[in-house]
Amino acid sequence: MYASAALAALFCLGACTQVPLVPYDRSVEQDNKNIGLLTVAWPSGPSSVLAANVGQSFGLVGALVNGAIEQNRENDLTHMLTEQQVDANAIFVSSLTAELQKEGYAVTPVAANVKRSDFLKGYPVASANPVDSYLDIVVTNYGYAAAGMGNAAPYRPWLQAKVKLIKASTGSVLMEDMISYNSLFTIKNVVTLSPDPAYAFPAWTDANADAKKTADGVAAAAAQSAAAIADLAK
Amino acid sequence: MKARAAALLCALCLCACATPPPPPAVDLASLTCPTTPKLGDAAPLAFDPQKPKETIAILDGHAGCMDDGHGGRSLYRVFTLPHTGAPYLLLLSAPPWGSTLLAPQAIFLNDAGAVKRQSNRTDFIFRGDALSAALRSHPDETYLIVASDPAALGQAVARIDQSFSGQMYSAGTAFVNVYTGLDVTKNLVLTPAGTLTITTAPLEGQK
Repeated sequence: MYASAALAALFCLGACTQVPLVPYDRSVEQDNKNIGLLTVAWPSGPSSVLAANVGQSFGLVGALVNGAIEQNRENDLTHMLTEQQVDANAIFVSSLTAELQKEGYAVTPVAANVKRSDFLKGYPVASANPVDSYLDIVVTNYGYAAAGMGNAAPYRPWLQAKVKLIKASTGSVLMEDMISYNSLFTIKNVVTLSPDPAYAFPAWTDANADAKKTADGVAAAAAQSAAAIADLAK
Repeated sequence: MKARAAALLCALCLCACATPPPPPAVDLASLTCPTTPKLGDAAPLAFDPQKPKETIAILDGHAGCMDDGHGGRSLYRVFTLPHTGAPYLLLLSAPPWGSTLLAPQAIFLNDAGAVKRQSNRTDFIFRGDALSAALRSHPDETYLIVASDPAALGQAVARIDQSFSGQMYSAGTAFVNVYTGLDVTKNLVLTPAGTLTITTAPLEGQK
């Protein structure tokens, strides 16, 4: 069911939205040394999207049937991640922190609502936290996606996130961007990461048959997406 | 009337069936390439403080050629940067052209022609299907040179693209949506020739 909402959001993004793009300029922001990493907003469960499916052509009944099948895939994926002890959120945060530290930043965790669906409306005042900026990340989807049915369109890992870096002292936007690991749609100007070809499953039964590889694919998408976000702050 | 309709039909058919032209093939070795770019050929970059503006640079046999002094040759175009009161977005995007992709680089010069800033390979990342760099303008920069990167020529890039589209069909009073998905691995080669779109836009959220 997460997938249906994700797909609707993607349709809208692909069709009608131009996402804001503000590049970071480190040569100008040399005082930005300590980044306050807000608790990353994270979906309540993984998605498993089959973008082009038969049910879509059969109205409400088709949508209900497809929704039930999606729910089963998402339950499978949740079970596999739990069984393999893969916490995509934890991998994402630890990879991001490590990559930012490699770039020379200090990273200070700052508590925020993990269930928020968008960027914070306002940010803590500068004196509340000893940080120079706030990094606000909203992961909108993660899991697997297939463009269509059959061997020619396998399930591949998928993650989408939007990112904002705010100057703590002024509230200025230092950076705003969006990344898509394995984009089903070409969204204008969004950073698009090609999925790792090692993790491809022609059918969902193939993913179910190899829980370790399936979970590793999610972990790879989380780590590579986090690294790409850190690269935006270079 | 019938002739006009037939001509229109023919034109429509041509539009639908025409294949894009092949990417330009340029023999860099045959070109005369000085070590300094001709700044006198600079064209102004479009800018609108209210909305994004695009300028397209085509690097082909008609573009300038420069040598980095170590034998590395680049095709280039030079632009004058708009001078505004505040920094603005410069988005440089090189889309694929057939199975090729421009190996892009950006060089910023001051009004005396001295290099102030130069992109490196990691500044260009994929945004959609285009190899792109998103940068902020600097007030001390007057010229932008977009050029091919001699160090990247010939490198192969493989990309997996998943896409999904819907089409509505009617059968009398009934309408049916048919969805199709594609999963394609694109193998591209970085080349000295191609196109690059330069988008200038005001930056959002500045205080």
